[in-house]
Amino acid sequence: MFTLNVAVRFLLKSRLQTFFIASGIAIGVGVLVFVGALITGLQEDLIDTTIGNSAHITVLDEKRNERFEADETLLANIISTDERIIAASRVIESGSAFIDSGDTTDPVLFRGVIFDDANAIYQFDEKLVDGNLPSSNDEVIIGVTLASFLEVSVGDPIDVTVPSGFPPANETYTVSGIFDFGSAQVNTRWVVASLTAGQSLLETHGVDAIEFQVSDVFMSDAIASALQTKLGDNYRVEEWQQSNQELLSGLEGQSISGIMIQAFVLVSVVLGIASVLAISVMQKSSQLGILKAMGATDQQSSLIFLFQGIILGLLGAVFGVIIGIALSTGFTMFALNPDGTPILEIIVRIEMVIFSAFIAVLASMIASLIPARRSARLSVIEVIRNG
Amino acid sequence: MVEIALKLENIRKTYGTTIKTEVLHGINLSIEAKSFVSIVGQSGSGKSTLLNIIGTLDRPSEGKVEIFGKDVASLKKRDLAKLRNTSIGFVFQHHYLLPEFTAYENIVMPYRITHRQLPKSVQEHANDLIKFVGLEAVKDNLANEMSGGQQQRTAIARALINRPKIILADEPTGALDTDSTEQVYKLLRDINRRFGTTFIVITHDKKVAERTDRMIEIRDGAITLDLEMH
Ligand SMILES: Nc1ncnc2c1ncn2[C@@H]1O[C@H](COP(=O)(O)OP(=O)(O)O)[C@@H](O)[C@H]1O
Ligand SMILES: [Mg+2]
Repeated sequence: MFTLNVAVRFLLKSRLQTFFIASGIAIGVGVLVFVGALITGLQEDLIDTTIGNSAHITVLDEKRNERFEADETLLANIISTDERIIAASRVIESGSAFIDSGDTTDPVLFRGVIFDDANAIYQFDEKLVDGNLPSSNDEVIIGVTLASFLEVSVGDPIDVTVPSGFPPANETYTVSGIFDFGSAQVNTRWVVASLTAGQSLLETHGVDAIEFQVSDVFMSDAIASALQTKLGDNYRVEEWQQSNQELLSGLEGQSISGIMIQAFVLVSVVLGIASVLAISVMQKSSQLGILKAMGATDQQSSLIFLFQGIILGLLGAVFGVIIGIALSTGFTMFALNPDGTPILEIIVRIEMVIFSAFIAVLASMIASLIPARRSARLSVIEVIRNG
Repeated sequence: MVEIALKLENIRKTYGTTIKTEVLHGINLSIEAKSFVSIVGQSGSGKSTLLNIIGTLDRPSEGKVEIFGKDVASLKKRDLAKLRNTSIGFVFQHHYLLPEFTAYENIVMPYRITHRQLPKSVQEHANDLIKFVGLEAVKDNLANEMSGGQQQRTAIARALINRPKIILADEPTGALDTDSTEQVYKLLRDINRRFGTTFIVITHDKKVAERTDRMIEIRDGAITLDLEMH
């Protein structure tokens, strides 16, 4: 197509100008991609910190601190409510348990779970830094901080007391594994045994809660309310968003500021392209005049500039994506904690990259509309007369 | 009967909105197809204004322009562009070529404006024209890699690529030296004889004008002399 051909030649003729404007767009797109990735990373990190060690949805007894029977039928019934429920784990727990190590007593959260189910939520198996998951009812796993505090390692015994009954229930377990959740709370407090071990210590057949994981964490409210309706008033369904409103509005604020930054970057990109191309219309007015005299239509004249915008946008998008990914990778590689782990795992989403690139091309196209209009309006007579 | 290439009836052109200046005062003119006509006159007399109106680049304030019997006033902007592309070739004093393209590319440009493909036949035609205007050696040169005369000859070949019926030239040698001027006029005359293209050429050069079929003199926006040369 001749308009495309002319557009390319115009850009090639003013290489330096083309280079600068394409670089400008590329840097803009790079920032777009990087800021997007940074914010996604931050948000996933925050969400992970918040719900990485807890269930998305929890079903409790209506009175909250009473235990209830939870058999396979109830479990199956709940899971069938919504296909986005991807894991369910029954848990028995006591927050008033302590470990008696002779001279000191350390308060702990004693939990009993079915590891095969609970792993889907907590990944105990992946978080073990030493030993194995309990293979019998007299084994428990504890956190690294607690282990070092108690000076116990795998194979050592610990003495767990639950003061709720009289006389207080008491059991000695062998530490079969030590886990690290990366959370001080969990690492110092949790002692996890099998569900049957827990039920036996707490002298019950019931559970304190059933915990659930859902595939879309932000749908937990909808799923929870469906569950509540289904289970009726005997149960109480809680979900993470309800108890984390501040976090959620924080995330929203972050998203908005990210979008603001991206919008300003876009505006400056658009202004840059528009001004360069507008100058270019003046520079190329003689050529445009000739083309029009030879029969180029006004539409064709504007297409020449529209194509220049699109080409600049495409160039900028390609190099911008490279810059953005490089920045993100660099950040993950070089911004490190003292222990060598990245401060933040930046997440470059392919759909976000494509979106940024697409926006860049679209913005460039829009930016070229004004020059395109000018080019369409350019009068042959003016050009010829002022030659 | 001789075909009429161009017919002007009472062409007036007024510039300005508050202070109106009429620069063409009712021009009547009829030009036969295949003739070679020169327009002479002092600077500012209205020659370019007239030629631009003839070439549909400008509209008259009053009067009628007919090109090969077609009244151009009825045509829309897009149709005028099409008419210029297919039927009229322009050669200007300045603005010879697109500097971003080679001589050859400039020559085929008018064809490419209205066609997606460049068929073999058009390529051959372009090469014939290049030979005809004597540019084989520089056909792949960019504009600034050619002399003024070569550039103008490229522009002439370009004006011919769509085999137009009329070529309009506004002081085509105004920026050229004597040798190049001579060369260019010889070329235009050859084209006129060989292809039967109608020429309307504005020139300062009386000697050039005297060698054309018909010389029209314009003074202060009116025709003051109209001479058939033979
Ligand atoms: N756009 C315009 N506005 C006002 N006056 C114009 C304009 N274009 C041309 N003129 C005037 O019209 C007259 C004829 O100009 P022109 O056709 O260029 O003359 P020539 O080509 O014979 O030198 C001149 O006096 C010129 O100043
Ligand atoms: Mg003039």
